[in-house]
This record gives sequence, C-alpha cells and structure tokens, in this order.
Amino acid sequence: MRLQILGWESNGLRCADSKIDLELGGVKKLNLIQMPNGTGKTTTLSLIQAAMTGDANTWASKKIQSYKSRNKDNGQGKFTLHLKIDDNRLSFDLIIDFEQNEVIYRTSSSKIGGAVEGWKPPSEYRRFLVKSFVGLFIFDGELSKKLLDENETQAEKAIDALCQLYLLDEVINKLDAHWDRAVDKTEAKTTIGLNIWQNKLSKLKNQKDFLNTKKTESEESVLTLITQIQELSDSIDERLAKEGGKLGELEEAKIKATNAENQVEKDADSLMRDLRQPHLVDALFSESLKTLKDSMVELQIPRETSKQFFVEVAKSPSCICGEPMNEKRKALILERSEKYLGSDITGELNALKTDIENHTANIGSTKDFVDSSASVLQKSIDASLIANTEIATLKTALTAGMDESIKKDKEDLDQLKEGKKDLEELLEMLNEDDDGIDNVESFSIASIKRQLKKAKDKVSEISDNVTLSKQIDLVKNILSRATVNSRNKITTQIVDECNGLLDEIMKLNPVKIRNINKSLQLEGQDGASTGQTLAVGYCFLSTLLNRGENKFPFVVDSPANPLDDLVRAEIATMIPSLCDQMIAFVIPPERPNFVPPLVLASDNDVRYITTFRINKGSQNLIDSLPDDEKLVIKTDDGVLVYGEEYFNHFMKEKE
Amino acid sequence: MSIDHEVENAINEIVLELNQDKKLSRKVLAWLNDLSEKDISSSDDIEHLKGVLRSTYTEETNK
Repeated sequence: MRLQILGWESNGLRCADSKIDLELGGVKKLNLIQMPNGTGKTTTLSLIQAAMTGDANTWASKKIQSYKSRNKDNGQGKFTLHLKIDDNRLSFDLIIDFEQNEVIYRTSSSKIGGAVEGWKPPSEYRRFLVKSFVGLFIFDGELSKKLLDENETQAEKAIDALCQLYLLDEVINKLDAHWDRAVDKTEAKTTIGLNIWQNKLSKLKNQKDFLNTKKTESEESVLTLITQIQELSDSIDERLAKEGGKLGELEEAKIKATNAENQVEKDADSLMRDLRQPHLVDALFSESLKTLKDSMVELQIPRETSKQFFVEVAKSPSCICGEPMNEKRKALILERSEKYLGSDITGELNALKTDIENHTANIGSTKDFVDSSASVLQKSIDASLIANTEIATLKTALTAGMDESIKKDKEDLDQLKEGKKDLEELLEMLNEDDDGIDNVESFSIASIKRQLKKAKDKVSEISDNVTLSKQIDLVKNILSRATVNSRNKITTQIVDECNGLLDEIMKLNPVKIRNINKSLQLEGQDGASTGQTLAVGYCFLSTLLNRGENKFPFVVDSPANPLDDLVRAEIATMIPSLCDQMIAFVIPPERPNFVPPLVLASDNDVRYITTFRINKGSQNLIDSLPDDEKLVIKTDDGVLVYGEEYFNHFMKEKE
Repeated sequence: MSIDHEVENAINEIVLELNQDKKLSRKVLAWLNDLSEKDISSSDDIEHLKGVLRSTYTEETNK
C-alpha cells in the first residue's frame, strides 16, 4: 500500500488561512514548508493527524477552543486534507464549530460513492488511519525520545501496529466469543449446575478484564507520575536553591545521596551472595555439612547404593543373602537395580562430597566473614541516611522563606507521590501470586486466570463442549506463541537493518541499537545525544514503515532544529532515502547546513513553499514577494509562496 | 497489506510442531489476511472460524 499526502486547506482556524498543494507539477519526493515560529506548524500537524484518524470526534471543548483563530471571531473553522492511497483519492473535511463545541467530519472518495457525512474512509484503509499508526509517520520529535525511553513502550507498540500483530489478538477474542455463544446455546443436562458455572465464568471474565484494564492504566499512570514528580521536584529544588543561592550545594548533596544509595545496593548484593553460601553464615552449617560428607564416606555413598553395586552383585557366584546366584535371581537383581541410584545421581553425590570438602576446608571463623559484609552494608546504609538527611536539611532551610507558588507546588508534589504510592500498592496486589483460594473478587490476576480456566473446563464438561473447548484452546495457543515468536524475529531483523543504516549515516557520531525490549536500547550507552536520538528514531521508523512493500509519507516538524551543524548534514543526507514522500516543516534558522544536503539527497525532486501570517511585522516580507503572481497566494490573514528563491532568501537578514 | 511473513512463518512452525495438519495454518493465515486486507463481515468471520476449527486435530475430534 502507498499513501501520499496531496495537500490541505485551512480556513478560520488558529493557523493562518492557506491552501497547500503538494500535487502541483506532480508529487515531489521532498516538500519543504517554511513557516516562522508561531505561525501554526504544530496546529497544522495536529489537524493533519486529526483529519486522517477521525480523532477529533473525541476532543473535549477546551481542545476544540484551542483551534479557534486568535484574529477572527468566527463561529466555525474548516480543515480539509487530500490523500491518495494506492490509486484512490480520499479527502477529509474537518469542520470545527466553536459555538457548539463540536467537530463534524465529511469524507469524499470515489470508493465510497462520493461525499458522505462523518469520518468514513473505505473499510480497507481504516486499519492504517488510526492514531497509533499515523502517529508514527506524522513525526513529532518527542516520539524519538519516547522510542529510546526505557519507561515507555512506544517501540514495541510501533512494531505491533506496523506488523499487525494485534490481529492475532483479535482472532483470539473472536474465538472466545464463539465459545461463549456455543455454551449459551447448550441445552444442558443439568441446567442449574451449568447456570451456576456460567455465571461464575462470566464474573471471572469481567473481573479479568477489569483487572487487566486497571493494570494497564495503573502502569501508564505510574510512568506519567514518575515523569511529573521528577519534573516538579526538579523545578521546586531549582527555585528553592536559586532563592537561597544554594543550587550548587543541593546538587552536590543529591549526587552524594545517589552515590550512597548505589553503594547500599552494591553492598546488599554482596551480603546476599555470602548469605547464599550456608557454610559462610554460621559454623553450625559448616559443621553439619562436614558431618554429612563424613557420613557419606563412611557409608560409601553413593557407591554402595549405586546401580553399579547391583551389577557387581549380579556377577558374583552368590547373592549377598548367601543364596547361590542363578539366572532368574540375576535377572531380578538387574531389573530392580534400575530403581536405585543411576550414574547421573551418583555423579551429583560425588560432586557434593567434593564441594563440601573444598568449601569447608579453609573456613576459620565463618561468622566473622558474614559479619564483616553486614557491617560494610550497615556503614553504607548510615552514609546514605546521612546524605538524604543533608538534602532534607538543606531543603527545610530553603523552604523557610519560600514563596507561595513553591508551597503550592510542594503540596502538589506530595499529592503526586501519594497517588503514585497508591497505584504501586494496587499493582502489587494485581501481580500477587495465586493463593489457590477460589474468590471471584480476588485482585490477583494469576488467581483469576486459574479460576477462569477451572470454570471454563467445568462449563465445557457440563455442556458437552469439551471438544470445542480443546479446539479453541489449541488455536489460541498457536496464535499466542506465534505473536511472541514473530515479534522476536521481526525485532531482530529490524535491529540489524537499523544498525546497517546507522553504520552508513552516523560515521562521525556512531551509535548502535542493542535490542528492542519495549523501548530501543543502545549498545554500550545509557543515553544518546539529540542527533543520535533523532537518527535512531528516523532509522527505526523508516525500517518499520517500509517493511512489507508499504510506502508511507514522513511528515516532520522542525527536523533539524535541535541538531548542531555537523549532525544536521548527516541527518539531512539520510532522511530522503528512508521514505518516498517527505514533508518537512522548517523554520528559517534550520536552512543552513540542513536544506542543501537534504535537497541533494532528494535528487532535487523538491517543492519549496514559504508561508507566513500577515501582521504588523510582515510588511517587509510582503514587499519582497516575487513578481510572478502565479507563485503567490494571499488569504485574509496569510501569504503562501511557491518557489526556491523566495524560500532561500526568506528572513535571511534575521539569521 | 497481507500479514507479515514472520507471522506466517511462526504459525507454520508452531502448527507443524504441534503435529497439526498444514491445512490448519492455511486456514488461520487466510483469516488473518482477510482481516488485514478488508473489513470483513461477521458471517465471513464465522466461516473462517469454522474452517479453522474443522482443520484442528484433537483426541476428541478423531475418536
């Protein structure tokens, strides 16, 4: 499938009125749209996304109002997006009613018989016009950061969305629904018994869905809270420190506390390692182990009890009971010898004896050994407590004279921390092991799963649906395993492909992906520079988007803004090879060192567009407009100019 | 857009490993591909589902 953006029109909205035509003279590989800051880049991008996904139907009134033009007092605004999917044209109108606080969609396509009310793309395209999917190619710089953030699951979600792994889950759900219907239709021999179990099963299913939803929500909320707490906490600390002129002191105390906490963790690990060796914990263990070994030696264990012993007995002329050895007795001894210790266990017992010998031989005062590790840990804990007390003291001193806004933020921070603690407690309950007790209201997901299986087996047994249940379980098993296996393989392939691309384009600033485990993990480094983050993000997404012969456009907001000059050129050279239509919203300062290599890498298949808002400060921009009227489109509040020359000279004096 | 070839490979391998007939993987993949390429009706879904279940081999189905 190939999706292209042919253009869009905007009227009466927060961004200036404009009509962008990306089809004029043929669709170009690279489309550069230059807009000064504050002229509605972000608004345009989110409108493109909303038109494409139908997402504006869920907007709250506050969000709807945020799209209202600041300069006009109009009751309605309209945004139209024109797309081409394979050979079919598709347009979405998004009409925003600021008085009624509602959004109305209209869809036009020959595939649906013209224009219809509502967001109604042809059914075969719907799967690709969802937020999770579109959000990958309408690229927001934040996405790159999220792909690399270990607290986010964006990378795995992207793989699931692009490779359609969610379809396997969909089939599993359809199988479950079929089983429910089959059981409902059953005329049971024991209707009462079936009803009881069906009710129980239904309750358990609801409880499972409820708990799973709670788990997902809580996990997401905890991640959000961690970020919010960190940001608010940093902001408070910074303001406090600035007020008291103690920013450096506080930072130093924090570093000290982090180091002390790391040391506690290290020493605790070391003590745990010692505790896992019983002979080091107490002399009693050591002595008991020695006694065990001595007893084994004395009793000739394992030799005497090993299979070999019986083999030797069978070879003897007489049995150990004194009776002569005959063929029948010999066969019986050899047969029964199988029941006793085999060579593998004999080996283990011999190794155990050797280990006891080696480990207990040179132990002096074992207690001292563990005591010394425990005392090291105690010292680290004390140091950590002192470091944290130092931070608290510093903060208290700073808080004494703090202003009201900081006090308010501190209260908010406490509330956030409290909320996080509650959610963590809930997650702990949800993740608890199965206690084996039947309780449909249990909060342990493991317990509910076990009860669910039991109830399902019971229902299938009573309703004579055992065969169907087994067939469905078999197919579900195949699908679940296929999801895991294919995700692993796809992940490995994507990592390899991305690393190949990164090798080529990041020669001066090398970076490699080690693995994708929910997020992208880099080889040999925890963090990444802005250039590396963007490069990894672009490579990952383009590899994914191009997987399986699909072509999606790449729409990027300020692609070079956060990059230094050297990395700008590297990234610019790379991006065009990753997609077949790129739409880049750029600001004038991004041009140097970025646009020339980008144009070159696009084989000069480029469209240049410059657009700005008409206001008091734009007269000089209007004065320098090209003479060719075909290149200039003026609206009530904006100007749009096609062409390379104006693009390259736009606001040059300001740079 | 048809289902990713790695999903296809994984289903084929697991079906083989579970000593099921190749017909089962064909039926499962046909269902997934239909879901991927079009908006299928509930009666199409039921047809696919029945085809998949008929292609399974369990002790009970072969008594």
